Amino acid sequence: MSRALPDPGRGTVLGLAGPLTLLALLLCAASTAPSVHAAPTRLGGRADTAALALLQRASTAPTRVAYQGVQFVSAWNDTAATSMVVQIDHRPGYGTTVHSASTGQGPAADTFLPAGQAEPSVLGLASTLQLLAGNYTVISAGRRTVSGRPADLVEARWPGTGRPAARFWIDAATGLVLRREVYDQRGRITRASAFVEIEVGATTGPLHLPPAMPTPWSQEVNYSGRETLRSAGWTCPDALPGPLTLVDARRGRQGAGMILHLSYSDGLATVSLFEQRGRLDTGKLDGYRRTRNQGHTVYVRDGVPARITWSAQGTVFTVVADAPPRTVDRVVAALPHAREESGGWHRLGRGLNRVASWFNPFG
Amino acid sequence: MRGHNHLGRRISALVDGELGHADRERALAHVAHCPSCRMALEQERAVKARVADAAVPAPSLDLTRRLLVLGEPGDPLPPRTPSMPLAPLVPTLPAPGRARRSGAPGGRRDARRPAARGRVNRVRYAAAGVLSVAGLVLGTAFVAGGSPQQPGAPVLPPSAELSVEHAATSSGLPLRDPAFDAVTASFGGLTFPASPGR
Repeated sequence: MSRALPDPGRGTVLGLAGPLTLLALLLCAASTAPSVHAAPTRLGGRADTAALALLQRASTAPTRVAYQGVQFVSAWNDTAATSMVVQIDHRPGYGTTVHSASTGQGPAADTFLPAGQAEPSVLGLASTLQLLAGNYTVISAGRRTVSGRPADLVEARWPGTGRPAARFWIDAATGLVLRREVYDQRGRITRASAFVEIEVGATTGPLHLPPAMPTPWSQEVNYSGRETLRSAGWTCPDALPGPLTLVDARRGRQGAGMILHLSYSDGLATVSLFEQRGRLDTGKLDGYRRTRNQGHTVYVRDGVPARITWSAQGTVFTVVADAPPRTVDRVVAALPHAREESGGWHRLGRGLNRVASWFNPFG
Repeated sequence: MRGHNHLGRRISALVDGELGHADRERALAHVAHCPSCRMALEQERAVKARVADAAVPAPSLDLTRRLLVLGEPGDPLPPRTPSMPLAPLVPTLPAPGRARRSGAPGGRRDARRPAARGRVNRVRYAAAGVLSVAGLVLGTAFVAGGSPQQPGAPVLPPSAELSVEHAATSSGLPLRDPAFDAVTASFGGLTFPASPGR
């Protein structure tokens, strides 16, 4: 399993110096955001220190608190919606077992998430939490009750409009997030989850270990590695529209070919950009539909998360995103696309070149 | 007072013969005693006479001669002008005097006609051949240029694996919902039929 590694080129990793250090950094972020640790993009948010302290406590609560319960998970996007009820059993230092009952959308499944699952390799946990404080207006919105337990409501709002971007109901006693909702720029809810039952401190533990969620690809790509890839023609943006900041970079393989995986976040949304050398084999794409995105032809697979793929300049791009549709559209539009010359003259020129190549003995 | 007695617009009607008998008599009686209306009447008549003359232009003498030559027997029709400007296009009609001089059959001009016609035909066939080949090449090119071809080997992204990798890295971010990532990972992405949603 990979750990956070320093990124010498950016100097952004803060290390795992303990909760006190994290809290101090978060409080610092509240007063100084945008900060050098966050992103090379514009940060327009502000936060109150009480709200940030609640979020920091919530982010570390699973490392301290055991619990089990029943939770519903719902997600929406422009073309689809889904809801599931899952049973969760969590033990600190061991992991989380998630059991989903069979539905019309999928069979029953048990998934195990080992404790300490990958921490972002480029920014680190604390800096990633800073993104939320830097990109959104984070406020404390009072005390509520969830599943019969007192909870502090923390709200992140879109800068400018003041509309809600996310709401977290944080258990007053333990810091666990009991309920959460994420909204798009138009105020429509895109994801929601909540405990309908929760028992803190009680855990039975799995009788047998269910299939564990795969760990992320092991080969991290550091700053110099990304620079080398850029010089070889790979697209490795440090930021994407949103604003989204690069938080993790890895590489995997498909056969003999390399897959570059770049992860971006603004503190709420997460976007993965995968790059592979070659051209998209559109004839074998299954489950994707061809569509246009801001003047470019792309292939979209409906569902959650959003998946969009296309190729340009000898590279196949695949975007997998848990983000509002407008953000996904802007991300896709900002990446390279093939020049589409659809006029008759362009077609004739392409054809003449191909015909000439048929008779070229050296071609 | 005098203004009421002048003819005004009736001058034009008088010139055109559009007044009734009684009106015409009264108008003429007024003109006989009114110098200004008389002068206006004369000017109106002059203008209309000039316009009437200009409306029917007399054909020029040269044009008349050419038209007459067309009706005369003797010369065969001149060769038809090819669609491409392979030869000068102007001398399609012989000058009247020249036509009379070469009017007898078997003259020098007629002796050169078959050879010239053969050349024209060869040129015509060659042009047709060139156009056919060009059309074939362009048609083939248009069909062959149907879709832009991108460089590189064909790649099919492993969609489910990429979704799991996305969930695995996202689960390390703070405040993520582990249930959501687990479900996404177990199904390789929550794929379901589109529904109205909202």
